[in-house]
Amino acid sequence: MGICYQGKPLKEAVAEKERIFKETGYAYGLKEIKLVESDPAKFMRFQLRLVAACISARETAKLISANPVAMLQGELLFMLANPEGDCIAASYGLAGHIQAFPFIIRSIANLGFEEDPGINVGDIFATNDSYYGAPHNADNYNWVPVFHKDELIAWSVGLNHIVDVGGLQPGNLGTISPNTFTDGFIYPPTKTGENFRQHGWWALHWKRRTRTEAFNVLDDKMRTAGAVSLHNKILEIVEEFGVDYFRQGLREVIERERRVLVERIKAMAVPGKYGYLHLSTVKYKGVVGTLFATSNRDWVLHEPAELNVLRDGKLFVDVEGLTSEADFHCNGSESAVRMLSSLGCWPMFAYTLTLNTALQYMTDWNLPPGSMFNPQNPYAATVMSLSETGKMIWMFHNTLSLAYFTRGFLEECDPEDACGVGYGMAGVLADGFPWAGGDMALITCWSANALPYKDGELAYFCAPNPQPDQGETESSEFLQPTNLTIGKKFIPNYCGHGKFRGGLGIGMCQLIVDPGQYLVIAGFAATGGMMRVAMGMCGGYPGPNDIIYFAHDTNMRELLAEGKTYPRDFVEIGKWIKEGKLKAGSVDLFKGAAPNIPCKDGDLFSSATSAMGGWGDPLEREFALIEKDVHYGWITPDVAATVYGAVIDDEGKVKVAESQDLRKKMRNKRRERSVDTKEWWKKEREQVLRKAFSEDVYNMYADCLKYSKFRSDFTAMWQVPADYKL
Amino acid sequence: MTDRTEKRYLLALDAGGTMTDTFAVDEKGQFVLGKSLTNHQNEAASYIASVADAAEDWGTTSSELHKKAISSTYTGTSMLNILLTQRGSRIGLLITRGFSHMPIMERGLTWIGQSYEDILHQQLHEHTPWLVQPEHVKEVTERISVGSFYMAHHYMPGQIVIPLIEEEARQGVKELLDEGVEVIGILTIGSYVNPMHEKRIAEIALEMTKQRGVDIPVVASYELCSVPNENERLKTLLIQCYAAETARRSLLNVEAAAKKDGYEYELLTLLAYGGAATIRYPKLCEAVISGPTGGLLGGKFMADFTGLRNMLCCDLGGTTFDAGLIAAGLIPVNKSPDFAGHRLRLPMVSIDSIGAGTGTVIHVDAVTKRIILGPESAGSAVGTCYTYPDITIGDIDLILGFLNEDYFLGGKVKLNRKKALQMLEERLAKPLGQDIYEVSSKVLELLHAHMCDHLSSMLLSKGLNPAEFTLLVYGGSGPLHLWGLGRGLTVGGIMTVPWAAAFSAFGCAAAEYFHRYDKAVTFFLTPDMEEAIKMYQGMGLSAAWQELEERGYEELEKEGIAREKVHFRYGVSARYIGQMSAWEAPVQKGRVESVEDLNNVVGSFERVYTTIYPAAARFPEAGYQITEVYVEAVAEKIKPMTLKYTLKDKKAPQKASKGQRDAYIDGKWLKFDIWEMDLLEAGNRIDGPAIIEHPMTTLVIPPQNYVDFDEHRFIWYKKK
Repeated sequence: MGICYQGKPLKEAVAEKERIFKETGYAYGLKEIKLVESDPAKFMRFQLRLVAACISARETAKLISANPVAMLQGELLFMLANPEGDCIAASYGLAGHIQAFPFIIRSIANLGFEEDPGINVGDIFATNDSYYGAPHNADNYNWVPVFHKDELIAWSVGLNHIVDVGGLQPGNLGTISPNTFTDGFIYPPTKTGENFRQHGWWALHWKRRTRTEAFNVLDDKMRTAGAVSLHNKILEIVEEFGVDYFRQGLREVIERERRVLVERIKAMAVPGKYGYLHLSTVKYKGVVGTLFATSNRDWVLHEPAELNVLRDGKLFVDVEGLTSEADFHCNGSESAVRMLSSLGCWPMFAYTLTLNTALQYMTDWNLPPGSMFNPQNPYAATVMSLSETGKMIWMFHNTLSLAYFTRGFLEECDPEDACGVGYGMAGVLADGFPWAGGDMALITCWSANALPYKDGELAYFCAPNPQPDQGETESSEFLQPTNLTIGKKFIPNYCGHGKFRGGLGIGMCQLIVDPGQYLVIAGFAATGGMMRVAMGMCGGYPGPNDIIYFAHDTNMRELLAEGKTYPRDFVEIGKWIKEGKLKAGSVDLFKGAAPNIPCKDGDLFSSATSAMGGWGDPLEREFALIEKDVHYGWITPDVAATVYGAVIDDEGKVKVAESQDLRKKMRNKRRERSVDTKEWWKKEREQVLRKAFSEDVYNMYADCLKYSKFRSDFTAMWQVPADYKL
Repeated sequence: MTDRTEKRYLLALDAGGTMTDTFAVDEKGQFVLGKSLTNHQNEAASYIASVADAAEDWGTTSSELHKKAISSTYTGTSMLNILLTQRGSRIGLLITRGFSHMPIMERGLTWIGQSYEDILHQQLHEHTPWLVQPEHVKEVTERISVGSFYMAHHYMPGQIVIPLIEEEARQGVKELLDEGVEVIGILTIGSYVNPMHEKRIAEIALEMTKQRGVDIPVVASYELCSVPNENERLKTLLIQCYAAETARRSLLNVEAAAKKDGYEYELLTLLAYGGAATIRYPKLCEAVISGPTGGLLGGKFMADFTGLRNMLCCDLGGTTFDAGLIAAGLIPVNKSPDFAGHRLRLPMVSIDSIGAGTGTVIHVDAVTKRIILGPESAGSAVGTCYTYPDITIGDIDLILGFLNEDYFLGGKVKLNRKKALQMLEERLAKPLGQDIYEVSSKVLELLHAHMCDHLSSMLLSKGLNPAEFTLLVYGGSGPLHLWGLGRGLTVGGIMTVPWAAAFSAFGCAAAEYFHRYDKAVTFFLTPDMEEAIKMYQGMGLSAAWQELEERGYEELEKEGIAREKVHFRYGVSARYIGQMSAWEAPVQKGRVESVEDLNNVVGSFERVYTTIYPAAARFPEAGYQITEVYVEAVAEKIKPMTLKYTLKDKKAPQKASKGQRDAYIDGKWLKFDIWEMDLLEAGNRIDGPAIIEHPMTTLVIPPQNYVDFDEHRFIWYKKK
C-alpha cells in the first residue's frame, strides 16, 4: 500500500503525473476543470484560503529568524504543494524557489523514501542539494507531509536563503569553487525530525559545518515552525471543503492557472523566435593556485537562448550552444534554471492570484547534457548556480519585451538586466574571537531599466523577490561591526543613458574599522564585466557593470582624526585618490565577482549595483528632463553635454540653441565613424578565418562548436566551411 | 472657568473620510449620535454641524452641549489628507553624510498595501511622492557605532567613530534657511544609542534660526522614536515635519470653533497607540491614524465592561474592513506600522485593513473569468443602485433584499433596485453564465471568506485561539454582514450594539489619557553570566524605566496633570540573542532589585514567545537580549457609562415591527421579519429570518440565528 490516493505509491503518482501531461497536454489530464466551472466563487474562496494560509505562516515564522536576509530583506517563503510536488499556493517572498520543489519530490520518490526512511505524520525533511533538486546550498528547504487518515494529501514547505554555507569563501554566494566539496555544507534529502520536532543532532551540523551557527539554527527553527503551522492550517481547510474537493481542487488550480498563462501570452505576444545572448567572464586564473589544476584558468561564458513563442501560447527555450560544464561555481541544474527563469515570468506574464508551478506545464527547455545547465559530473560545483541560470531571467524580460513592444503593449515591456552585489565576510577580532557575516542589501533592491515611455524607477526592483527590501543599515551593521557604512546612495551618471534613461545605480561605501587579527571579504556581483543583454533598447545605452572596489592602506583614519570628511562611493574614492585628497597603497577594482580579499583597519570597501539600459537615443531626450536630472544631481552638466548633447548654463538651464547645434555635431560625428555593414562583416570574417581570437574567446568558441545548432549558426553567419575547427 | 465637576457632557467625534460622527453622553450614561458630511477644507465647520445634529436629538443646541461639556475628543483626518494631497510643509533635512538619498530610496518598499497580483507585476510599482525635495537634504560628516551582536569583542553601542564636523552642519542650516524651508528635521545613523550628534546639530540649527529671527520648528529623530532602523525613523521624522504642524493648525481651528461655541478646555485627540492627548502634544505624528483607533478603544471599553477579556473588533464601512484585537484585556501595539504607503516607527494599535466594504467594486476578468473584488470602492456612492458607475457589494445587498431601498440613511437616500438588478445581470451573471441571485449570493460568500481569513490569520499569527474571542462588529455596514462573519468563524460569542454606526466616536470618548515612551537599550543575559553582571544590567534597566517615567511626569505636568495623579505601566521588548525581531512583553514591576526581578522580566518574554510559537522554536541556550523598554504614563479621565435597563419581555413590542420582506439566502427566497432597532427593548429576542433596521445601519439575522437584547441593550447574536 502506497501513501498516495487509493494506495498508490509516491513514485508511481509522480511518474503518472508526468506521463499523463505528456499524453494529454493538460495538467493531470484535466480536460475539464469541473470545480472551477461549476462554482467559480466557491473555487475562488478555496484558492484564497490556501494563499492566506501560506502568508500567515510566513508572517508568523519570519520573526524567529536571526538573519537579516530573511527577516528584513524578505528572502524566505512558505508554500503548499500537492503530493506530486506541484506548488499550489505560496506566501510572499522568494517567488522563484517554488519551481524547484517538484524536482525535490521526484528525487525522494525515486530514492524510495516511502520505504526508507518512511514518510509519516510529523516527519520533517530537509535538503539544500542541487543534485536532488534544490537550486543551490544557500537555499534550504524544510518540508512536512500532510496526511488525511492514511493518505498523503499535501506537503507544507518552508525555505530560506541562509547567511553562510560553510564553503571555500565566507557567505552564501561563493564565486570560487572548483567542485561540490568546496561548495560548503550540502545535505541530500534527509529526515531531520519526527513528531513535528527537529532531532537534536541536526543543530550540530549547522554548528560544525557553517560559520554562522546561531543564525542558521534559528533559520532552521523558523522554517520548521512555519511549515508546521501551515500543516495545521491546511488540515482546517481540508475539514472545511472535504478531502475530495481538496484533492481535486489542488490539481484544478494548476490546470486553471496553466490556461490563464497561455491566454496571457496569446493576448500579448507576437509568436515567433526571439534570440538572446549573454556573455560573462569567470576569473580563476592564479586564484586557486596549483591545488585545482583544471580550475586554474579564466572563462568567457557563452549563454545563448532562443525563445520560441508558439501559436498555442506555449513557450519553448533552446539554449544549445551554451558553455559546457566545468570545474567552476557556475554549473546549475534544471531545477535552478526553472527556478531562476520563472523570476522573469512573474512580472512579464505570470502575475496571478498566487505563485504556483503551472509555468512548468507551458514552458519547455532544451538543456543539452554536458552543458553548464545540465552537468553530468555528480561532483560539479553549484554553489553559485544562480549567477548564470539567472541570465535566463533577463532572457524572458528582454525577448518578451520585444514580443510585446511589437504588438504595442508598451507598459508591459520591461527589459531588466543582470544586477546586484552581495558579500560574505569572515574574521578574527583583536581578542581572538572568530565571527562571520554578510549582506545582500544591494541584491534585494536596485534601480530599474528605462521603459519605452519613462525613465527607470529608482531603487524599486528585485528579481528574486517581488517585494524588494534593502533592509536597514542600523540592523545589518549590528551583525558586521567591522564595516562602518559611510555611504548608501545613488551614483550620478551611473545608468544606461537614453531618450529615457535607466534608474541610477546604488552604491554602498564602508570604512573598515578595527577588524582585529584578520578579515576577508568575498564579493558576488551579477554582471560578469562583459557584454550585457539589455544593450539599451532602440538606441539606448547599456547599463554599466556591477562594481566591487577596495582601497587598501589608506590614510582615511588619519584624515578623519584631523576633522576631515570621507568619500561616499567608489567614484568619489577614485577621484579623491587621483586628486591627492586621499592616499591609498593599492586599489582592487572588480567589474564582477571578487575572490577573498583581506582587509585592514582604514581600508575602504565599496560596491555598486549596475543600473540598467536606456530606451531610445540619448540625443532625443527632452531638454526639460535633462534639466530636472541636473537639478536633482542625477546627471552632471559634463555628462549632459557629452552624452545628451545638452549645454547647461550656470543656472542649470539648457542653452537650447547651443545644444541643438551640439547635437547636430554629435550626429555628424557618428556618421563619420560609421562603417558599412558589409565591410565590417568582411573584416570580422577574416579574423574568424585566421582564428585570431584572444585565448578566452578562442576556448569559448572551441567549446560551443561542439554543439551542432551553434555550429550551423556560426558557420552560416561567417560563411566558413562546415568543418571549421578550433 | 466653571468648576469641572459641574459639567455633564462628554463629547467625542470621529471624522472619517465621508462622515463626521458625534457621540455625546451625559452623566447618566444616556447618549445621542450625530452625523455630518466631513468638510476637508474646514473641519471646524463639520465638527460644529455634527455636534449640532446630536444636540437636536436632545432638543438642545451645540452651544448648550459645549458649555456643559467636560471634554471633547476629536479624531481628524487632516494628517492623512495632507499626505494624500501633498500639501505638507517644505522640509529641510540634515542627515549623516552618505545617506542623503534615503528619503527617495525608501528601502525599496514600493509595494506597501498592494494586492498579491500587483506585487508580482513589478514593473508597475512606484515610490510614494517625495516628502522632502532632494535639494533640501544636507549632509553632515559623523558616524556613531550601533554596537554589535559580538558585544565587548568590538565597539560598544554609542561609540563615536567619526567625529561630527560642526562647520558642515552650520553650512547646511544656512543653505536650508536661504532656501526658505518651513521646518528642519535631523537624523544621524545610530542616534538611538547615542543622540549626541543629533542634539548638537539641533542646537546649531536653533542658534542659527534665532540669529536670523526665523521661527521654524527643529525636530531630531531621537526625540520622536529612540529606536533602531534608520528608514523607519526617518519616515516618522518626515511625517512629523511634513504633516503634523499643518494638521495641528487644523485641530487648533476646530478647538477655536468649539471654544467660540462655549467649550472651555483644550481639545483632545487620539494617538495611534490609543492614548488621548491634548492637541498641543509635541509628537503629534503619533496621531497619524486616530479614527480606527477609536473603534478599538470602544472595543476595549466593552471588554472591560463585560469582563470578556478577548475581543475581535471588526469595523466594516463603505471602503474598508478594519480589524483589531483586545487580547487578555490589552490592545496589541505594532511598532513598525504601514501607513499610506510609508513604513513608520511609532507605536500604533494593531489594526489591519483590507479593501473590503459594501462599496467594494466587483469585476469579472474577461480572460480568466475570475471574480475579483476591489480594490476600487464606491464609498458613499454605494453602487449602481445610487450614483456609482460600477457594480458593488452594496448592489448585491440590495437585490438580495438585505438593504431597504426606501430606508437607507433613514430614507434620506433612495436606492434604485431595478438599476442594480440590470447592471448585476449584465456584468456579473451573464459573463459567468450563472443565475443572478445565486451568483450574487456566492459573491457575498467570497467577501465573507476574505474577511474571515483576514481575521483568523490575524489571530493565528499571534498564537491566539478564535474560540476564546468574542466577535464585536460595528461600523455602518458591520451589522449588515455580521452573519457572514458568524458563519465563517468559530468564536466564543458575537455581539454588536445599537450605536454600531458611531462606534468609533464612542471609542474616542472611552479613551484613556496616557502617553507612551519607548527607548532602545542593549542588555544581554547569557546562560553562563555571573550574577553580579546580571544585576549590573538590571540596574541599567531600572535606570531606563526611571528616565522614561521622568519624561512622562514632565510632559503630563505641562498638560496640567499633577505628579500624584500619574501612574505607570512598564514593559520590555526582548528576543533570543541573535534574532532580528523582538517581542513586547508587559512586566509587573518597573524596577529590578533582585535576580528574581530580572528572571521575571525574562519570564514575561518567554510567556509571550511560547504563546505564539511551538516549543521547538525556543532558543534559551543563546541567551536573551533586551532591546527596548517602554513606559506608559497614565492620568485619569472621565469615561462614558453604560445604562442599565429593566429587562422587558422576550417578545418584542408590536410597535417595533415593520412587517415582512423577501430576502435571498442559502439558495432560496424567504420571508424576513422587519424590525425598527430603536423601538426594541432590553430583554427582547428576535428570531431569524429577520432584519433589524436603523437609520444608520441594518442588522441581518438568518433563519438559523436569533439575537438577544441584554440589560444594556447590547445585541448578542446566537445560533438557534
